[in-house]
Amino acid sequence: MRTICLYFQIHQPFRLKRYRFFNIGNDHYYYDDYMNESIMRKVADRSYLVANKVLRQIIKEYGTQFKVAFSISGIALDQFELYAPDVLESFQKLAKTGSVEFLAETYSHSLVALKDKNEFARQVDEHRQRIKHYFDMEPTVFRNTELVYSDTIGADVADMGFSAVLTEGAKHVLGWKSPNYMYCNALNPRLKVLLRNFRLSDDIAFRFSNQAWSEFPLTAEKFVTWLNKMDRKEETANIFIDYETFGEHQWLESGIFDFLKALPGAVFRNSKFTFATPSELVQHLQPISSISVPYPISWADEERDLTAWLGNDLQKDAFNRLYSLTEKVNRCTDLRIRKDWKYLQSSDHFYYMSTKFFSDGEIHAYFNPYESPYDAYINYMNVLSDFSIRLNALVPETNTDQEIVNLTKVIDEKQELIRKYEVELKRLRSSKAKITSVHTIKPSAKKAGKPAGGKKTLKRAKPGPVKKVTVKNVKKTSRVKKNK
Amino acid sequence: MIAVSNLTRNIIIEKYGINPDKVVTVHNAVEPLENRESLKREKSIEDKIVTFLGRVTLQKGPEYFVEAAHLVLQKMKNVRFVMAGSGDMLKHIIHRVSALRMGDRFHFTGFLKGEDVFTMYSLSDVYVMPSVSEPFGISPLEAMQSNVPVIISRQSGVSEILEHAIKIDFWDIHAMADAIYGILQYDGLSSMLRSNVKEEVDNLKWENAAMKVKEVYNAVL
Repeated sequence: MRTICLYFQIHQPFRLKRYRFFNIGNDHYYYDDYMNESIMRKVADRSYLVANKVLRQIIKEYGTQFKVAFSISGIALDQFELYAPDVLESFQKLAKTGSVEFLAETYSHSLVALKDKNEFARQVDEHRQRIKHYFDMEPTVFRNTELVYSDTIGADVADMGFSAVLTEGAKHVLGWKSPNYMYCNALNPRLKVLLRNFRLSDDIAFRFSNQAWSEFPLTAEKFVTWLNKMDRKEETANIFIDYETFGEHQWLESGIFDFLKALPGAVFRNSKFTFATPSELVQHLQPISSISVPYPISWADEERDLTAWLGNDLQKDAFNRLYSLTEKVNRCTDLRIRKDWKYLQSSDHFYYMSTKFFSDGEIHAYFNPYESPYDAYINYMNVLSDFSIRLNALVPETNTDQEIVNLTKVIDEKQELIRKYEVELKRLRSSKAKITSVHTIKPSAKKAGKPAGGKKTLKRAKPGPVKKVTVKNVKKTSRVKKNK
Repeated sequence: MIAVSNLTRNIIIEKYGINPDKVVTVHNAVEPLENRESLKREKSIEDKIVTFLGRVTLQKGPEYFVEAAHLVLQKMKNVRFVMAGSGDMLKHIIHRVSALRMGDRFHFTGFLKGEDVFTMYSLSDVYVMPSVSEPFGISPLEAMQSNVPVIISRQSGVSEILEHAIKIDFWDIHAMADAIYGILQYDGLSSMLRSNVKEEVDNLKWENAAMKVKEVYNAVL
């Protein structure tokens, strides 16, 4: 059985507004709502909704014979909820068809995997919960931001319990090997690695409407003949592309939607290929060998490395500055801080600072709100300065001292409680002793009965208010902790 | 007809009604600097220095530099501003500086010449050229030869050829202040600019400009 594995990536960042240094300390809202909303709305109308409609038609016709996988970043989901609930709804409809699988990634579409294992796991977990919440599915396959992958990242992903990971079939990693098989991680062979066939993927994603391309125009039939030309033993063609390819990178007028519509029919008619999702590949295929990726790769640019995000001093400085805050943010429970922390991590912010922009302009300029990488850097650093000021206010610098203060406060309060209880206990004991003494001296019961009864009600009534007091105290301490 | 920038070329075409085919742009270059090391001087103060160097006239936009300085000083203290040069607006500028009560942070050197100019560059952390209108503007290139990051107005011819410079509109004092603050405050930016400006300016050679002029000449013959 030979398969096509279609996988689409969806992400939109929260772009920052023009944030001057005068805003630092005064203005704590960082996002350009107008731009974010208008871009999301535009892409939703031109791409997501139209493509989803096409997919629904395909699934209506071919049922579960047709399979497709999506990865939607947590930030994109947030934006759907804010600006395009209709898109979210249409994905939910797709999810119910049984032909669609959702993959896990980092919530923020971040590059945290390169920096901090714990924070990485936390973000992936948060994204997993999101997917469960919206689509009622538990992702078992992982894809990292921009398909960034290395042996160690793979090992971390395996530790999180995923069965497979998607990455780029980069030439310098594969050498003579083919991307059309399933591989496994070099450190933990239980994690399978699916590699993107960049030639077939880019034929659709980049070259489709290029009239200077020798294969222009590309039809579904022609594409299937290429699939048929694959070596007989090769098992899968992994087509991993941005979902915005449909309608946004390649316009409606280029016929990209007709191509998508015609592809399943052409595949079923003219070839023995079937469609499969990544998790199905994991079940059906055997890994052919392990693949060693000592240095991180990605699907970006000609080099397939990290230089688009972490290539120059601007990017490295901003990236390190951001993640130097990790520990502090983890000790902070403020909801707005947590949210900004997520949004500031989007890899896009670093992408805008790329100086490859000068030579490799076209793709880097896409939806880029800045005029130059320097502009992007200054703006981001201003925002980050304000963010760390807020963070420092909530989480004091000398944190061990603060911790000790907090703990001693808690201990003091507990001690106060214990003292109270002890008093209470003494009183109860003495009253109990009185009751028993009343019981032993029966003859005087009538006279002594009344005060004893009074004590009894007191005894029952007391625990109530005491408990309430403790609850209040506990609440107070926790509130104090939060504020600090 | 040869113009030193597209800015000038457009003016020639629009204001003088010359046929566009007859006007060619050949950008200026800068003379490479010999024995630069000897001109370097150790900074005697720890504060950062932001420099404006040129004629203090309306065309050079000195008042925008003053307003931007005022904004920057509201946010950071360890910075000094230097206005090097003289001109008909100097008195007005000095009045403005004193009115803004920043005389202790804003200095005037008067007209500089010869080696003093390069010494001034070597002491600077940022060079600002806020010109209102500048056919070309060679001074940022000289600053870049001394490894100084530059902020230039978009209304200058030199902004057409520079990549590793921060470009702003001369009237946008907020953008100017923000750029100054960014370079002084964020190490990544200044180190990135410092490592690139020298190389960029060294590639702007008079030989290349001369070659272009020769091409134009040959085409006319």
